Amino acid sequence: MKNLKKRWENELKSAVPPLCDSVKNAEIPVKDSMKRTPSSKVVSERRKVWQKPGLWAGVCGGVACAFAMAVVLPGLWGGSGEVKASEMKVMNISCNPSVEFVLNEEDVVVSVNALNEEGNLVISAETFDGKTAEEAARLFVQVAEESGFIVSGSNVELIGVTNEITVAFSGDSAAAEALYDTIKGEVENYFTKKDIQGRIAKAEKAITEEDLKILITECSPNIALEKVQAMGYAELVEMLADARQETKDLYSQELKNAYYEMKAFALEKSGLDTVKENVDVITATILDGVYTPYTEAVSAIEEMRIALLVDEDSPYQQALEAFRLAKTQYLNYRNEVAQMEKSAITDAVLAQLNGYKNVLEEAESVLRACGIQANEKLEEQKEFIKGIYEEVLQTLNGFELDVKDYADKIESEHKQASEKAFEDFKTKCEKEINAAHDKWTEMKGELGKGKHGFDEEPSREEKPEQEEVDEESSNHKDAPMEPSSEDFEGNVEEGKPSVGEEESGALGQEKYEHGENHP
Amino acid sequence: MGVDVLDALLGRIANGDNAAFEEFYGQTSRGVYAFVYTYFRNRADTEDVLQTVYLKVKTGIHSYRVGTNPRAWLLQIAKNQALTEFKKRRREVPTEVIEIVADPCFGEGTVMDAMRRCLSEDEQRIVTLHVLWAYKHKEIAEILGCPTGTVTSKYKRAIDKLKKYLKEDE
Repeated sequence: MKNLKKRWENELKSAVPPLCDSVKNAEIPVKDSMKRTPSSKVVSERRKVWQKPGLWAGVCGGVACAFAMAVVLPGLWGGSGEVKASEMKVMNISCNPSVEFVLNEEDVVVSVNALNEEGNLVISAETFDGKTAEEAARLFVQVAEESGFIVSGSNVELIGVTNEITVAFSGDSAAAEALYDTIKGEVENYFTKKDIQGRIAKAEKAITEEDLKILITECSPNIALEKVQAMGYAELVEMLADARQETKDLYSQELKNAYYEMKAFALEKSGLDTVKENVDVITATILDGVYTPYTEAVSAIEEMRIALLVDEDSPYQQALEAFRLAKTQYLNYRNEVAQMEKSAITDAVLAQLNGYKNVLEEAESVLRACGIQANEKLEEQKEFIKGIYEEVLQTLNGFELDVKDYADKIESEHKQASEKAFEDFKTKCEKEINAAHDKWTEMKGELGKGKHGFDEEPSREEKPEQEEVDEESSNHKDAPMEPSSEDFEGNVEEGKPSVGEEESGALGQEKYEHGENHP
Repeated sequence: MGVDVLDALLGRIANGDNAAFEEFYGQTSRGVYAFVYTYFRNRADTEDVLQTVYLKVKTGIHSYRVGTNPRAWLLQIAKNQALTEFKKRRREVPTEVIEIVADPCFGEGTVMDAMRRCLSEDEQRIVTLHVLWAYKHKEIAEILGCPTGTVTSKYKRAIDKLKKYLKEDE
């Protein structure tokens, strides 16, 4: 078994054909003269602007508009005007769990957000960041299948499951079409492999810029509408990605909404704090009359949020727990039924399934009601705060202090205060975010048992292989990692590969796997 | 040929140098061919994909960032293209078992034939990446998305099988 590698290379040398004419003569495209500004720079620049409260809206709107025109918009187009550079896009995948992915220019996931409670479950189970759109879609389907949202087996019609997945995109339709084709192939391949009767289709309606603007105003309530209206497509997508990052571990829609609302107050308050700190002592003392009730109201709404939505004993959390339990029971039983022999599906089995479904629907409506109730109370408090805020502004006007002008003067102080307020707010929320994450992870552990029997552990596709490896690696733990002379003699053992001899390094590969430089 | 040389060639290709492109093909096509072959196990499909891969290298040259990792970039194109074509063909192919027939170019006793006959697709890929591309097991694990232990054990098994098969032939 000598020089096997050389033998192999000789075989290949005679087998590999020369380049065909069409490839040989294909033109190498001209490089774009204007490279797009790195998205990290755009994001970081924008973040500074974005974290300002409403009273800076006018200035921010202008700056953002100019920024978008000067940096982002030209970057969207190749300098020659012939080649359109790839763009970021939003991709929604839905099959009841609905998840929104923001993709960068290389179609790699940079942000994930659930669009409903089921979607929260899917994204809590896996890390999607850094995966290509294709990988993310496959993983989404895989988790949805493991969690019981997508059902394999021959009884799917009998239990009323369609296994239908829809995908929607924002941005350039040709690029979306191409990406959709890739994703479709990947998902269909998974369906075939897992013997799932399902289908994937492109959503009838694409995600428009107007849709993006609505999403941004939802997750950034402190942003001025005129600023959002002035944004271009690229900036909208990047802003959405950025906003989603903050709440990626809050696996409940109500918690996310409340988080954004509170953040708006925290930032707004930081603005007034800065103004107050910079006025003279007499003005500050007089201002206290309205300012103290304002700060108390802001603290009160934060306490309310905790009591109504975050506390374990709150009605909302209790309802959420009940909903999760009902969901788990229903999905697991549905999976069990899907795997049964047709003859075993008696009326009693179907009645049981319906029973679980009813319990789930009931739990869902209770959860919704609790969410609405909590929001109504928060809304009352919000109106109260708005009223006091107006009073504070009027008082400042009484001192002939134009808040906007003043803000400009102390912009750097305010910027720091705003950033600090934002960080403080995030730190404060960290505990609840972690708790929410743990709960969902726990629920994920419970799901999928229907497929394997309630007493068995759910298995991932890789699991048997992992076990096999663990077993074998203990046998081969002394085995060399590199080919030995027994394996291949020749260049390899001397470390002279055919295709590039230096070590590429794991990190280099990881970069590509994660889509950087992805062709 | 080292990574630096490949990197330099890609840099020249980006500047429109066709001679550099042909040199790049000469240096890398065997590795790409062997890798793509593991998906199709036949020459016709492999050759089709090979040409498409290099067409994509040319047309997508500006997505490569000089100074990074040319091997990984090329392999990623090859992998994506092979998977895309593989899925297309798989949808077209009937489900019954297709008997492996001898490839006239890779007749009995050749390494390619031995690989095709006695190794699984994964094993072929692992052996190809390790021997022809000189990737380490850890790197292969990252490329194929599986644990390093799996690569190590599969590699060992694959080599044992190859040794046995080729010995029997000789």
